Amino acid sequence: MKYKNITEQDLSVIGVGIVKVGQEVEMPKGFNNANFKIVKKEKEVETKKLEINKE
Amino acid sequence: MEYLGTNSYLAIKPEVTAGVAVIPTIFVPLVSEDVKTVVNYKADDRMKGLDWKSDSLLRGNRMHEGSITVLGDPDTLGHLLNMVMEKGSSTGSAPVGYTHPFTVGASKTYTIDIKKGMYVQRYFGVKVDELDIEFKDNQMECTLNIKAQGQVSIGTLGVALTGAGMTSIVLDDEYDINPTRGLVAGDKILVGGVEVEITVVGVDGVTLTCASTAITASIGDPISLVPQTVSMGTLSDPFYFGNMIVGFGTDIADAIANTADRDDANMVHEMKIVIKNNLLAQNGTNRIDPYQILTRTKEAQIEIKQLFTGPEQRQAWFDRKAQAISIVGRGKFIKSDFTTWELVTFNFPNVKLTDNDNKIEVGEFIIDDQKFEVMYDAVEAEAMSAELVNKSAGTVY
Repeated sequence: MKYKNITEQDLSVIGVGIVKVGQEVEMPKGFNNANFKIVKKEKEVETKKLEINKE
Repeated sequence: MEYLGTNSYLAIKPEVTAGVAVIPTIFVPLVSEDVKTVVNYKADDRMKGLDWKSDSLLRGNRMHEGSITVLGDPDTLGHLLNMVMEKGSSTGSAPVGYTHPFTVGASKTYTIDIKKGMYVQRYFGVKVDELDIEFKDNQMECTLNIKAQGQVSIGTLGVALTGAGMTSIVLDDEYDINPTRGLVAGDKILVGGVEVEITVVGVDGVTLTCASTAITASIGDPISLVPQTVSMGTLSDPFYFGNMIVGFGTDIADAIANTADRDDANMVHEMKIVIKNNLLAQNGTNRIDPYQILTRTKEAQIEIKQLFTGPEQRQAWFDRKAQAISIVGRGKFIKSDFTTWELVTFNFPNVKLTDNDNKIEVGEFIIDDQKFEVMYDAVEAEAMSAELVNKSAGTVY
C-alpha cells in the first residue's frame, strides 16, 4: 500500500529509508505511522465522487 | 517471544485540549524511562468468615508518574521547555532557523507513547513536574519527572466478536468505566490476533468503531494498542557541555555580556539546572485517575562546580548577595553561510547561593561547590527566561 509523507520534513523510516516531504512510497505490510497518510487509488476516489454526486 | 528494550521508542505531541489524547508523531530517541501507573490496589480484608486475609482486591485512586531521560538536542529541548515553561511567539524560517522564547507561565500538556514490546503504553494529559538539565559525558541529558491524567495500553474485550461484518469493538469496564479514554481515531489496535484501525471512539466510553472486519474473539481476550513504525527527521547532536558558556554578573545585562567572550565567562566543570512546577495531581470525583493536574508554586535551582579562585563567591553566599547568571549553549550552524546556529540561552537575573562548600582533599584543587536558588527579580520582573534557536517551526510546539 502507498503512503504519503504529510509532514513538513523529510523523514527517515526504519526499514524503508528517507521519505521526502509529500513523497508517496510503497510501505511494507504492517506499516503504521501517523506522519503518513494512505494514498487512495484514483478508482476509489472516483467512486467516492460518484457516490457524493448521486446524493 | 522476547522483546528487547532497544526496539522501543518515545513519541510525543502537544495536546490541543489538555487531557485529550492525540496520536504522537514526534519520535524522540529515548535513554531510559520508569513511568508507571500506580493502581493503589488494596486487599479487601472485610470479615467474610474466612481464616485468610483477603479473597480480592479493591481499587484506590490511580496515579500515573515517573521519569523519562532523553538527550537535550535543540529540537527535543524545545518540547521539554514547552512542557515546563510558556512558549511565546516563534519567529524565523527554515533557512535561518526558528527562535522560540520561553517564559515562566502555563506549559502545554502532551500525549506520550512508549513502545513496550508488542504494545504501546500511552499517557495523556502529561505535565512535567520537574525538568533536570545536566551534562553526562559532555552531552546535555534531560530528565523529566512527569505526571499524567490517564493511560491506555492493554484493554479487555467486553463483547464477543463473531466473525464477518464486525464493526464495533466493546471493551469491558474491569479497569475503568471509560476504558477507551486515551484512544484516538486512527490508532491501530490488536484484537483476536488481527490489527484494526479505529475510525470512531464512541462517546459511551466503551465502544470503538472500525471498518467491517471478520474477527473472531472471545469475551476477556486482550486488546492492545499497536506500536507505530518509527519515523524521524534529521536528528541534531545534543548540546555539548564544552560548547556552553556561563556568564556571571551583577545584573543580567552584565552576565549576558560576559557570555560574549570565553575569556570573560566563568569556566565551570559541572552544572545542573532544575526547573520545578510542583504539580498537584488531583484525585476526586469524576474519575479514578487524576481529574486534573494543577501547577503550584514554580521554582528553579542551579548547581555549579567551579575552581575556587578567590573569596568572592563565599562572600556572596554569606551575604546572600544577588548575582545574575546567563547560560548560553551553541549547537551546529543552521544557515548555509554559517551565520546562524542552534542556540539555547537561559537567563537568571537574580540568583542567590544557598550552599557554597570548599571541600579539601589531598592532592585535589579546592572548588566552589555551589547551589543557587533562583529568585524573582523585581527589576527584570521575572525569575528566569529561556530562548531556543533550532530547525523546528513553532507550529510543532
